[in-house]
Amino acid sequence: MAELLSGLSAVLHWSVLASVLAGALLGIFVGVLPGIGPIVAISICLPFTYGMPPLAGLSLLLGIYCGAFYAGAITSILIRTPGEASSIMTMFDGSPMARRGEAERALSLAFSSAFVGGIVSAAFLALAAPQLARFTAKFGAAEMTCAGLLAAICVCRAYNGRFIEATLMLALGLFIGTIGIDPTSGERRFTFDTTGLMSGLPLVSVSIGMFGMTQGFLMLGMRPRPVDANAIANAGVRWHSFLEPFRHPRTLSRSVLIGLLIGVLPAVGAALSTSLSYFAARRASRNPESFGRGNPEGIIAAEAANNSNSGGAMVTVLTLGIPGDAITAVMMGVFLVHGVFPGPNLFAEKPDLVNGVFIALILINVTILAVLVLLVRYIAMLVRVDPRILGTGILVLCFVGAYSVANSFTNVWIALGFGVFGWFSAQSGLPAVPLVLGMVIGDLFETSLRQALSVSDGSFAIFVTRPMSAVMVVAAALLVFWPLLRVAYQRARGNPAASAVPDPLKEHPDG
Amino acid sequence: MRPDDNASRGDGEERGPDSSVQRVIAVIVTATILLAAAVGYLHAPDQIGGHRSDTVFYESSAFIPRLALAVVAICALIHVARVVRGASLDAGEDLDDTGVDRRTVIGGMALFAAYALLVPVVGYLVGTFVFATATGCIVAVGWRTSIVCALMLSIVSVLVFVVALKVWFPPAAILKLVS
Repeated sequence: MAELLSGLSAVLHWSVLASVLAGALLGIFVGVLPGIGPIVAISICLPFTYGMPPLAGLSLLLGIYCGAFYAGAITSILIRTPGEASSIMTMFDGSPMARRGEAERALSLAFSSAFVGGIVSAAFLALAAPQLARFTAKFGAAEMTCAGLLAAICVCRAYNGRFIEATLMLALGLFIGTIGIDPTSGERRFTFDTTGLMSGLPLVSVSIGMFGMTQGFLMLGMRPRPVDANAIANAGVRWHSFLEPFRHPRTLSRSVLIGLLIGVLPAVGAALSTSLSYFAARRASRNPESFGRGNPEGIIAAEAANNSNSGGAMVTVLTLGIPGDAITAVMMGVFLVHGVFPGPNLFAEKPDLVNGVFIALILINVTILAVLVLLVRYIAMLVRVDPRILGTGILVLCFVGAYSVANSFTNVWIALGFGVFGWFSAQSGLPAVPLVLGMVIGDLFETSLRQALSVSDGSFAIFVTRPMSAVMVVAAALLVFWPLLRVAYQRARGNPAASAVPDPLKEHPDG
Repeated sequence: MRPDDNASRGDGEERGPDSSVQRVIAVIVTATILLAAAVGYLHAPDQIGGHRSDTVFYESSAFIPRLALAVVAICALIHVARVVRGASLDAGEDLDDTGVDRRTVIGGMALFAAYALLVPVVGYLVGTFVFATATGCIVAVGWRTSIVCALMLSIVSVLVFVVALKVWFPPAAILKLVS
């Protein structure tokens, strides 16, 4: 309790409160606008957090992170266009409910389920992170190496059917992260004798390029989609529907739990947690055929899981210093620029910051809900913005964001280079997220690996003789070889055709 | 990531098959990555200042870069082979490029490069206005809309970033020439 009170006093500062509000508003705007994800806004805003206190900077970025997930439901429900990929499942029941004249009920269900998920997620972070930090404080170099390797493999495996492409980009990110001065030996790596590359390629410029600029260029080439003005005019909330999720306690609690557990896993993300939660609710329902036709449990399952991801994702960042996804990878930049290193020591060295994050997350959820309740009718109108004008605005923001990293036009060119590369990569079927994750995980992985091998005089046995690292090595091997094992198992059962996974969405009735 | 790559985006649009142009782009890009990775792997020790070949592998600063480049090269080779054999080019992320005009995208990239060259010469305010106006014209939103949006965007961005957040831009080079 004393720790939480210290966190509360850290949050009750005007810079943090202003950041919470600004982040919530930005996140909501980003979430409503189809085609822009929170990673774009977070990448662009990151350089501006460098002049802020660390807790204020983190609050701004967390506000964007959470706000985008809340607001993605608005367009899913009103105009059947998900604002975020994780809002697709909300659309399946939210849109039919809106079309039969219950848009306010659907929005209220979505917001209140999301609020429950967000608050429980923040509480989970506050309770679980200190315990996990005590456990990870015992990790040595071997365990940290295996944790980094396991995270990298989880990232690649998360791209179903794209393992090779994701591995390519992750390894490329790992290589890019080595450019500059080697922190262990002091040798210059791939600097081509230029002083600009001595400190390596800045993560912010790379993120702005790969996410912000790529998206901005794409939006220039889009045509505006026709929007039903009547659907937008139906935006609003219904007060008694805010309590409706509590009439489905099993669905609500199951969905929050799924979101929390998925959030802890690196790279798996909110889209998978909402799918799993939705289909679990449908399977458990006495009325499964009503899903897809405006069943409130469909909305509750999707939104509760969607918004309980954030706390789980922050657990691995705070306790291990390993980001769970590209968003948390970029957010780690706030820590690093202030000389704060996430990991088990963070809880001992900066307890006010850590506890402040817990309280800020709760405050962010309250702020987002309040803003949505008051302004949802006006926020919904943002969907009418022409994507081409929006794309131009994003590119201007990317310019100033990249420039402000070090008040240097060189970073603008780096961001442009990665923006062009990001677009060509997308055309080539190469995902962008693993590259950024590789840059962030790579530093930890390399340092720990070289330390561990120095201790063992070059013997890799150190990774299998220590219990925790052995467990992680086995888990990593299972993840890599899982498809082969599954096929072999099904053949052994005499069922080779069952290796094809049935597509549950094709069974879904079109509402 | 989407739960089902073949699901519609909710507005009736389905993702179409990859075009031959896109496939050619994919082969060129991946082959370039493969070549760069292979060259980088072979010349890595030369690009590391002070590198000694007699250092044990785990103490060598070339260890991780070479490992990464080897993985990149192998994966790029497999990906090129898959693309040539007709594999899907869906990257599995949220980047919705359905119906996007590639020429406009490339035009936007060129304009942005011009923007980066222009700002040191004419200053941030004028550079942003010119960029936004030119971009609005090439994406065909109409010149009046372009000018109005460009004016608002440039003024707001100066007020927010230069005035409020104190992002410093160097004086325009053209002003030095005039004075």
